[in-house]
Amino acid sequence: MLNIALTKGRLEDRTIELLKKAGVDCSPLLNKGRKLIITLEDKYSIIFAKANDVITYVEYGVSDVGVVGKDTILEMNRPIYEIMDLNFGKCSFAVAAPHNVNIFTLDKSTTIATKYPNVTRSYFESLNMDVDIVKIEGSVELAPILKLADAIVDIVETGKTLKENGLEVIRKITDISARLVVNPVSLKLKAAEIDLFSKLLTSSITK
Amino acid sequence: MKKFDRITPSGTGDLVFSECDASYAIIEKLRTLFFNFGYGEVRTPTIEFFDTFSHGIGKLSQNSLYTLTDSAGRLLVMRPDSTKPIARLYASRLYMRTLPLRIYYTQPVFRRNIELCKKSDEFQQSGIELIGSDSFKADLEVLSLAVNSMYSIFGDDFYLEIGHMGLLRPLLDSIEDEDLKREVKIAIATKNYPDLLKLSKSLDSNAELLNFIPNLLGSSDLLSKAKTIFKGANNQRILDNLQLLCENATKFMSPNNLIVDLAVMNEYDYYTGVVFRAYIKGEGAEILSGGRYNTLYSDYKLNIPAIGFAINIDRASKALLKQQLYKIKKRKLAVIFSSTPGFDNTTIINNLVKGGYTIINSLLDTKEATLLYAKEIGADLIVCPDNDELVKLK
Repeated sequence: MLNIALTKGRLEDRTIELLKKAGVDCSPLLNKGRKLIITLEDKYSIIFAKANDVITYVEYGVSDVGVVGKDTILEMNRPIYEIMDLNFGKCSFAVAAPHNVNIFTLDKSTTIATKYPNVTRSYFESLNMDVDIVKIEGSVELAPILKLADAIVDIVETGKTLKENGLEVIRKITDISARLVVNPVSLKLKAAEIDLFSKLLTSSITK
Repeated sequence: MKKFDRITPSGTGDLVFSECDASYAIIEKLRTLFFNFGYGEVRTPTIEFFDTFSHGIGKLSQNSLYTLTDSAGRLLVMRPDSTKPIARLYASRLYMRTLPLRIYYTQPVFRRNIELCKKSDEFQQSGIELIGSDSFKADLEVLSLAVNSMYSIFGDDFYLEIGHMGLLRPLLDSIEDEDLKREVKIAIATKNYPDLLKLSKSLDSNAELLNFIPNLLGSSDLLSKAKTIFKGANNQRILDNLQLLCENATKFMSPNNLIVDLAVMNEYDYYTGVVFRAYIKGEGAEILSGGRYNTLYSDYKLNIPAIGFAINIDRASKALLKQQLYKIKKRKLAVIFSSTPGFDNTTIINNLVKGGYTIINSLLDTKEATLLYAKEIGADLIVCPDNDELVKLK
């Protein structure tokens, strides 16, 4: 039995589409109600969790593999293997600021609001820039409008939300997409099962 | 002010009774094994100078160390591993000994982990170091002892992973750009296949090998296949030796439980040759890890090869208890009651001990109270040496 953790929501839907395409019987998922664990074909035991928890479950090996966004992988920075780019859930990490504010040329101290303090810290460290980071849990765009921060670091898909709030991307940090992550011990002890599962996903992606 | 006088710091904990028993049972098995094969025991101090761990190869990142200062303000570290202190010990006090030198140890190590991650900041490690031989025979000896150690703790129900740092070294050496080299190293070490694919596009030569890396993990069949990928006499010799190591290991374990990883990589350049790890099912991290490190002693300007391994005793004993593989000894209890104070009924006590009883000396004043107490602790016998009375409770 391969224990799989899926990030609830869009990534979950896309992964299940791939499994269906590969011919896996996904009917138990149709009316799953509030059940948190679903078994498919006696081969896959699937749990549904928040992105951060997917990484936690995989890190401890209670889930062998997981589907999770690169944004969460970068933010949590845990010792897990990332073996496949699933090429969906595509977006990017970017620095965004109000028009005509370029924090890279400011000579005063800069404040950045973000949901991703670790990604933000390591990015500005790599540029040798000292910044103050404020952690915000949702709608980070508000922080520069309310003058709490000079700029934000966030995931950007189309940039529409930014634009509507008077912000624009001033620097892209990195691309993001959904990844297949694996527990390092599981990759070794369940090598055949994991290999089969990743091939199954590959075949559906290229179909 | 809030006091923390009833809890232990995060990452630490008390071991109670059977947890201690299981841990010492493992340590005793390992000490006997290492002793029988001519290894000598050492113990290094819990606190060392920061410099022992901060220089050269195998340097640990600063934020994972427990640091303190001595009376002169010099920075001290609680040992995060035992291999570096043993290299220090060798370089300062044992360098005149005949090589090879065989050393074993059992002592706790201390590492700071991030909060709320369920990892131990303090744990016991037992291990060996075989110092001063670069021969295949030395590899074989240390790997055999590693396999034997796992076998003595878990029976044949364990997994062994073997690899070699030498196969991918030429690939890394061929990358001149240091940043790119580091990125490739990290991508290989963390099995980040999407990143490897991206990186292979920025490499001119060897890109093909980089793309092949996901296929370098498998069973021992991989070794013969790998011969067509890794050409050259040196690689062929490495693969032949790995084959021999695998064959030797299967004397103590199922060949199905052998894992070969030819793309092993460590970020800190610690290992130089054969590397190995042992796992058991249901544990998300390795129980044993080791390998050859021929350049570690260069920190002390010594050109001395060495190979060794360490076992995480806490993880091993927790796994034993969790899987109920450790049989908790059922003790027979005999309560001794004398009406006069004294602890001198040696003949009776010796006979009971010989008969497999654990002796509990009753501190109560009356026999009636002793009887109640004996029942409460589940004793088998009450013995009253005053009148040679013996009451069976079960």
